[in-house]
Order: sequence, then C-alpha cells, then structure tokens
Amino acid sequence: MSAKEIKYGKVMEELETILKKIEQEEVDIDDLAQEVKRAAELIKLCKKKIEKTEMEVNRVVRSFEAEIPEDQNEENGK
Amino acid sequence: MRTHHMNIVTQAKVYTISELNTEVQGYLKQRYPATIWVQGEIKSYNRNAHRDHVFFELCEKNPNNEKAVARVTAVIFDSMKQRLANSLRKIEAGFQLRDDIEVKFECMVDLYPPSGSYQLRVIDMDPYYTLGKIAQQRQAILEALKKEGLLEKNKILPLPLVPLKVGLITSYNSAAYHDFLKELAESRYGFRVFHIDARMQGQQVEQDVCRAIELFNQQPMDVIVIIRGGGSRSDMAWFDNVKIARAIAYSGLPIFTGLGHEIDLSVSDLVAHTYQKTPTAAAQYLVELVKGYLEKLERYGDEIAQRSISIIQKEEQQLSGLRREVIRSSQDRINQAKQVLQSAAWETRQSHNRLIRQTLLHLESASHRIRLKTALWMMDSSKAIGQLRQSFPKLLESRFKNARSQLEIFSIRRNAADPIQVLKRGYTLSLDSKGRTIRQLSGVRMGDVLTTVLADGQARSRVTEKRRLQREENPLEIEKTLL
Repeated sequence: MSAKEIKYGKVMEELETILKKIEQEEVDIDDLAQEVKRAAELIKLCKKKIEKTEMEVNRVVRSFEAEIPEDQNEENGK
Repeated sequence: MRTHHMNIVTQAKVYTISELNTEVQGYLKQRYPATIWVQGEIKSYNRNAHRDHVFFELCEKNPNNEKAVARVTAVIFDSMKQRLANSLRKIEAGFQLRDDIEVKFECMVDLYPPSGSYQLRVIDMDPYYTLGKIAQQRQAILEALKKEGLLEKNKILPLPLVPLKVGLITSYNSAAYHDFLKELAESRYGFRVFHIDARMQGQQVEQDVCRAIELFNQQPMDVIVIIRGGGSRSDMAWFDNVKIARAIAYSGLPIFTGLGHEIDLSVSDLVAHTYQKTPTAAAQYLVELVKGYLEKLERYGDEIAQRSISIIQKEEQQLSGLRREVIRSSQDRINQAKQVLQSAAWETRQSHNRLIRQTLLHLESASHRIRLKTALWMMDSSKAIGQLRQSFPKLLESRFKNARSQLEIFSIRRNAADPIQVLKRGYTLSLDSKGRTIRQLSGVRMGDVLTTVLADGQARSRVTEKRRLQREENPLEIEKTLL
C-alpha cells in the first residue's frame, strides 16, 4: 500500500471514531462542535484531493525518467 | 572398363530436375491419392503475407523438451480460404490461425516442382481438435499455477481505497486505450494514468506485458490495469500465457484486466486481482471504487451531522424546559413579593394617614380650647390676669406636651406598621381579581369577586352591596349601616 492510501484509510478511521463517539453520546456537548468541525474538515480535504485535479496521462516510453513523486498535497490527507 | 563404365552411364536414365520433381510428384499422388489428416503445431504462419496463398510450417515437438523434431511446409491456397474460414467459425467467430496452436488439417500431399520441396495443401481442418488443444493448454497452465499457489496470489492484495494512480498497459492509441481514458476522464476524479505501450497480440505480448508489470512495480502505483479491445478467442490465447500469469501473480500491486472477451476468461484474467470484460468496464470499476470511498465519506458526514443535530436539539429541549421552570417559579415569587409589598404599602399609607388626621384633630381641638379658655379668662377675670399670666405658659406647655407625646406614640406605631402585624391586629386587605389592592370604592363593582387577605389566610367573596361615605361620616361606621 502506498502512503497515500494509508492516509485515505486514516481519514476513514477517524470519521468512524468520531461517529461512534457521537452515536454513543460520549461527546460532551461542548466538544461536539469541535468533532463535527473536524469531520467536516477531513471530508472536505479528501474530496478536494480526489476531485480537484483533472485527469493526467503520462507516457512511459522506456522507463520512468524519475521516481513518480508522491502527491504534493499529501499533508492534506493526514 | 572405361567403355563399360561409359555404358553404365549412358544406359542409366538421366533426369532433369523438372523430370525428377514431376516424377516424385507423381509417386506422391499415387501413394496419397486422397486426402490425409495431419496434426501438428503451426509455425511461421503467413510468413509471405503479401501473397494470395498462406504459407507456414507444421511442426512436431518432442513432448518432453518442446523441441521441434520434424517439420513440413504447408499452404492454404486462396481458393481454400473460405472453406477454412467456415470451419474456423465453429471454434469462435473471428478465430484466426496463428503460430503455436495445434491443428489437425485435412490435406493433399504434394510436391511443388519449382522448389522441389514437398508440401501439404490444406483442404480443411478439424476445429474441435484445435479447440480442445487450446483448452487443454490453458488447463495445463492453470493447473500448474494452482499447484504453485499463484492463482490467488494477486487477489489477496489489499485493494487501494482510492486507486487514482493507475499503471496502464495497453497498445497506444488503440480503441481500448481511448475507451479506458475517456471513461476515467468523465468521472472528473483526479486520476493520474501512467501508460506503457505494449503489443496486445502476437509473440511480443508476453515480453511487453511482463516488462511493463515489472516497471510499474518499481513505482508507487495504486493499481495496474491491462486492457485490450475485443478479439477472437485465439487472440485471447496470447493471455493464456504462463509467463504473463506468473508476472501478474508475483506483482506487488493489484492488477485489473479488461481484455475484451465475450465468453471465456484467459489465464491472465483468472490470475488477476479483478477482471472486467472490457476496458470501459475496467475504468468504470476504478471510478466506482473512488466513488464508493467518497460516498462513504459523505455518509459518515451526514450521519455525524444528523446525530449532532439531534443531540443539540435534545439539549435545547432540556434547556428550554429548565428556562420555563425558572421563569415560572421566579414569576411566582415576584407575585408573592408584590402582594406583600402592595399590602404593606397600603397598610402603611392607611395607618399613616389616619394617625396624621387624628393628631391634627387633637392639636386643633387643643389649640381651640386654649384660645377659648384664654379669651374667657381674659374677659371674665381681670384680677385673675396675673394668675393667668403665671399659669398660662404652664397650661400651654402641658397641652402641647400631651399632643407631642401622642405624636411620638403614633410614630412608634407607624414604624411598627409591619403588614403582617397589621393583619394580625385585625385589619384585612382586599384584592381585586387581578391581585391589585382595592383602595377606593370606585375600584369595586357589583358582583366583583374580591380576595380578602387575612393574617392566617385568604377568603374570596362577592360584592353584593356598596355605599359611598357621606361627608363627616366615619368609614368604620358604614359597616353598621350595611349590616
């Protein structure tokens, strides 16, 4: 798995945790806004990362000229 | 000896090559007057593609080491092509003869005099033999892969959650290439496709595909996709290839296939992580994976939002209940306090007024009496004037003293005018229906229900009679007249 996936996975995990906390009403009403804000942020970042760019096609002729870089906006996925 | 020798030479028939070839051709025809069936593997198929006739070799291999042990040239004349095509259709629409497939041909044994080589002139073929051989070959590969545990090897790789980085293996500019990219582009997701050109039919398929798989495995791809457009079953057979199958099995990246077949799966499909029928379907599958992730995100988002809203609503309900309670109880207290204050104020004012009036009355009558007596004394007894002069200041003083002490008592009483004490002393307080203290007769109407506040409780009564106080009348006396 690439580092990128782990982050998409982490986002999903964090959302699951937040949802579980809210479902079981473990969240203090004062922290609720924070949790909801965090969830909204994560979703927004992921969507932005997936949807923002146009498709890109690279031709690989003999070999990869350089290592394919990890996504530049990787830190967004944290 | 020499002559003899010459004789032998001259007696023996000397052939021209044409004669020889033609004669051998004749023998062959004699020996093989009808068609025979020959089986073998096709090699160098259609090596002279520019000709009308199709030339190739049939070859027999040593089953132990796959080495060719015998060959023969074969030809399909242009006039026979249609017949062969009909038989080929029984295998599969669009099936083409090609290298490496095993065939059983019905043919004439012939010799072509210009080249001197004998050849097989193909008349027809047994399609079921080829079909069976292809299946057998495929089956053999599958069994070998299964034995090595390679069939499941790529399948158990975890699928990337968001497979946007795609290593694409197909032939550049082919229909498959365009179909695949079109589908991805329409999704509007940020796919990053890395394409390695590879031949999708012919001998080179194995080499191209294996190399591309290897190259992609050196890069942080999410997934490798191998696609090609539609083709016949025999074209598909290029993917019934044990080397490609191994490359797929040993790939560290999940491999999707979309090889454009209609009925059967190739060995590559079976070894791959996921197979789709067409390049478009393979692209759709990728799009679905990404979409699925986004939808799951949104589902979680909705769920979190809804749950939060319901928690907040619940909290708000509790708060507003609490607020109502606070308002109600404080309103009650305010009303109570107001009543107490109102009755206290009333009582204070009433008693105050009454005391002042009484005091003034006293003072008035006192001064009146003094003035009167003084006049009398002054008129009646001039001899008593001296005495009067002596006693008057005293008299006056004692009178005023009296009045003053009375005032003091009143003020003490006024200070002591605690409404509760007042109530206890027998005064009552009348309130109208709105809880207002009634101070004047005009505040009371016939039939009104009044609340009378007593020291130890409240009583409610209806107004049945009222009378206005006449001038000089004592309000307390009214009671009697009413009674």
